[in-house]
Amino acid sequence: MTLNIYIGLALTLLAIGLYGLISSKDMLKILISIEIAILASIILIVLFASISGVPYAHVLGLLVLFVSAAETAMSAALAILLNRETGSIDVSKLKELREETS
Amino acid sequence: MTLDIATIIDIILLVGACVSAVFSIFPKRYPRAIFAFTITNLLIVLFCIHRLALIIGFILLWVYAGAIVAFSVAIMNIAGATEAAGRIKGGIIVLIIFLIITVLLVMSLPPETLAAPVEITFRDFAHALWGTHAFIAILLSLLVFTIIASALMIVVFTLRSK
Repeated sequence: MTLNIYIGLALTLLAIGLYGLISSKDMLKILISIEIAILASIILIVLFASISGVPYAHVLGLLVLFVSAAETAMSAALAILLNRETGSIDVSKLKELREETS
Repeated sequence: MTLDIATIIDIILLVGACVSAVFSIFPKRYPRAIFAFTITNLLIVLFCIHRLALIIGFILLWVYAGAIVAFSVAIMNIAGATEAAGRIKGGIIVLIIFLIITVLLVMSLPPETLAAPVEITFRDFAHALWGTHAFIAILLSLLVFTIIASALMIVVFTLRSK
């Protein structure tokens, strides 16, 4: 029963992150939303690691952390470049990769 | 259903993280969003430390301190604070505030929580890290990250120079 509460709270955090990801056009807010969704996965990994008691689950958590850190650094750099190129961080302005239709 | 004190602390930390996550998405001003995001991270770090995942908790603390500094630098860049000194100063101030709040929150935990025995030692963790080849995976992921970041930078500089 207690486990269900933890899982429910982690899923709530995931839902908040997904909502922010879908509803926002601001690149930094999208990035924060992704981080929140990753935090939900880290909560579950730590929870199951503490229940199982094996160190492998902690290592998995560490891997997720490193991926998250790399993603944050890269996305923040992309946001800065986007701002320099377009003057704003609105992702709806990113249309340059769209194929031109004749 | 009866809940023990440790479970109640966990639930309070996670509910607090959910509430501050909502506040980190909705505000229109960046400083408020970053502040709420910092609080979310702090609560999750405390949850990890409380759940005896001490190694992950402390690495998480530093990774997210770095992430918040990266966010702050990005916001200062976008908001127009272009002087390097200002960026570094702002980042260090955010980092120091982050660490002070964490220490204060950890100190506010009940002593029996902090004195709980650590189930997984650093040696177990190191063995698991090597045994599952996760160490090599981390090195490879950092290498791939460096290659992708370098390629992106080359592409951007090439496009800008044309």
